[in-house]
Amino acid sequence: MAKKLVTPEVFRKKVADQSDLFLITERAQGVYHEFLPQGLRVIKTPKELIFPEWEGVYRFSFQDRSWKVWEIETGDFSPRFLFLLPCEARAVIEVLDGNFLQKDYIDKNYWQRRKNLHLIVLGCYTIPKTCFCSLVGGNPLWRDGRSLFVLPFQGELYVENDETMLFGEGKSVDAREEETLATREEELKASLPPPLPSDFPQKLYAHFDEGIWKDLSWRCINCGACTFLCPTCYCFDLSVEGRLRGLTLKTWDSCMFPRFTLHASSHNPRPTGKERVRQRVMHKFSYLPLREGYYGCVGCGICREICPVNWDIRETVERMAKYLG
Amino acid sequence: MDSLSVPVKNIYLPELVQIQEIIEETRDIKTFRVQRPHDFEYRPGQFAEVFVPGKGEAPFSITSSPTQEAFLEFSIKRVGTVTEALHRLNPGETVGVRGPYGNGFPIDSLRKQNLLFIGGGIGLAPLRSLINYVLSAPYRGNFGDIFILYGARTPQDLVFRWELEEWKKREDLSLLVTVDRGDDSWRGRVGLVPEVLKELSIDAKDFKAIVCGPPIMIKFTIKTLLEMGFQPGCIITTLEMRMKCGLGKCGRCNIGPYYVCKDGPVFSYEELQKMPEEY
Ligand SMILES: Cc1cc2nc3c(=O)[nH]c(=O)nc-3n(C[C@H](O)[C@H](O)[C@H](O)COP(=O)(O)OP(=O)(O)OC[C@H]3O[C@@H](n4cnc5c(N)ncnc54)[C@H](O)[C@@H]3O)c2cc1C
Ligand code: SF4
Ligand code: SF4
Ligand code: FES
Repeated sequence: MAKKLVTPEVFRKKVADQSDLFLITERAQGVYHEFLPQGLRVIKTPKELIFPEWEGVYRFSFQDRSWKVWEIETGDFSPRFLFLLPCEARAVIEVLDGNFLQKDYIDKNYWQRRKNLHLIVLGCYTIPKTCFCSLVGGNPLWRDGRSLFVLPFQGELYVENDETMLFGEGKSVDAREEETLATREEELKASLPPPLPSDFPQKLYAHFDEGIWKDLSWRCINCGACTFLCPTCYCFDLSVEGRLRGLTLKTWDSCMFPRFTLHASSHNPRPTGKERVRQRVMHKFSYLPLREGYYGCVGCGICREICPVNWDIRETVERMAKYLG
Repeated sequence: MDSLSVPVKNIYLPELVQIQEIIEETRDIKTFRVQRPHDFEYRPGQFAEVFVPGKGEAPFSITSSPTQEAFLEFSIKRVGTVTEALHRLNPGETVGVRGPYGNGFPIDSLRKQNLLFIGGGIGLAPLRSLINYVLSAPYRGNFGDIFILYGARTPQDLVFRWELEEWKKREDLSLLVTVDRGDDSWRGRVGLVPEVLKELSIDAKDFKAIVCGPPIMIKFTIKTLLEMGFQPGCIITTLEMRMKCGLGKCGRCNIGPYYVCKDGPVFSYEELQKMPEEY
């Protein structure tokens, strides 16, 4: 693994010189603004680049007395680099890729966007109160070992995996520096709350029918804001726009909405907020881990920050963990 | 990323096919026979997404049997936007089809077994695919006795009447049709499915039961089957949930960690017992 140190001046200049190539998430901007030039395109959540709020998946039209359908090709994107925090990177690599690139059915539009989007993981060093990545198996320096990784270190920027010299040659990391880095990483990890017990998903599932869900869910007003800004939430709707010509749209949807599961017979398996909040928590902390082996939450805390009633998923999960013993 | 091969196919894109024939089954149910799309290999119990251009898309069980190679059939009850649009179409017009999706019936585990089919209303549609499969010449010998119990609210609500006549003529199966309420011309059985079921002289040990119908009918039928001595693993049913993608991606149709579109829609009662009651 290539490792190097780059001075903040060089780093900033390299980014400024190629600023068209870069994008940054709002949260990463909040942490790293002092190292970056102004004017980079800022996005709210990484998913909007690869799984946009809405996109057409195919068109239909009635011409010459017959119907035609044809796919809407997103085409090939030119390569771009996205600065993002470790939790956001994990949301893309584990959860979104896990869903849309699952081998049996690959979502073509997603794949076409994703394959040219390179992630630059920015190690987190100011940890807000609302996040809890270590509970769900992450940490502020999490990276997948292949993506670019950047971290401030002794007045410089430590960079991993910069194969194309995006940030210049830099200077190599010596053995002592490497050791210091490793020690700091260990210390940091040791200072964080431990992960949820490995049987948490199983135990949570076993407590599906518990009365506590009512208590945990009553405050939530089911507005769905959390699911739209959550970097891992990927549920979507397919709907039709237009009559004689138009398109089939894939749009973000939310398990917090009553119509999400409404049957044509008007029966609804999740009729109240209790069932819907339970679904959101269970999907992230039980169903996905049981099914795919990863949590559907990366502990970023965004949902808590934007919730109009301060509904706190961390508090919920910690309360459940305690309740389950 | 690069390790994945290029997906050539847009998984949401339907193939347009022509409606060959429409059979009016009841006041609000029609059976649509459509051209079979290319490379469309399916198993009984699977479903497809049917697209009406300009209207929308909805999931329907494939009611034809894969042994009928030239076409697909769907029996569709008019309940809302898409189904109403479908009911307004005529032979020769176009719909889109994508699929097949879902697990289908566990045919391997049904081999050599006696089969008890129990259908209620339009719930006969998914069963019919399997019934015609096991009745077809190449496969009939692989299965034991076949008993079909079919019920509907009134004689007017019976679907596939034309085919029930065919089945009745066959000597290698028993067919019993019942209605909740008869009328002047009805000469057959009157009674709810679970009640009629109780009176059948069927030895639970020798049969596998395959049940489909409205949720309330399924519930009471399963109860009766258990009383008759059926093991939960020997009762098979198919579920309905609101669906969009049909592919296990849109996150909509789960019951606990199971996606009904992918892991289902066919489940044994043994499997259902382990799931939360959220369907
Ligand atoms: C695996 C599977 C297999 C199936 N197989 C069959 C089958 O073989 N045959 C069959 O007939 N069905 C089958 N179904 C059910 C079928 O998919 C539904 O009946 C169909 O999706 C209804 O679509 P629709 O657009 O006509 O109804 P929708 O318009 O989606 O919904 C209709 C109902 O919802 C209400 N509604 C509509 N819009 C609104 C609104 N804005 N607000 C509130 N309420 C509203 C309407 O009053 C109506 O009662 C199957 C379902 C599944 C999941
Ligand atoms: S903390 Fe909230 S917003 Fe962040 S991943 Fe978990 S559920 Fe989503
Ligand atoms: S948790 Fe908060 S943001 Fe999410 S749906 Fe409930 S009220 Fe809205
Ligand atoms: S219908 Fe989309 S996940 Fe099942």
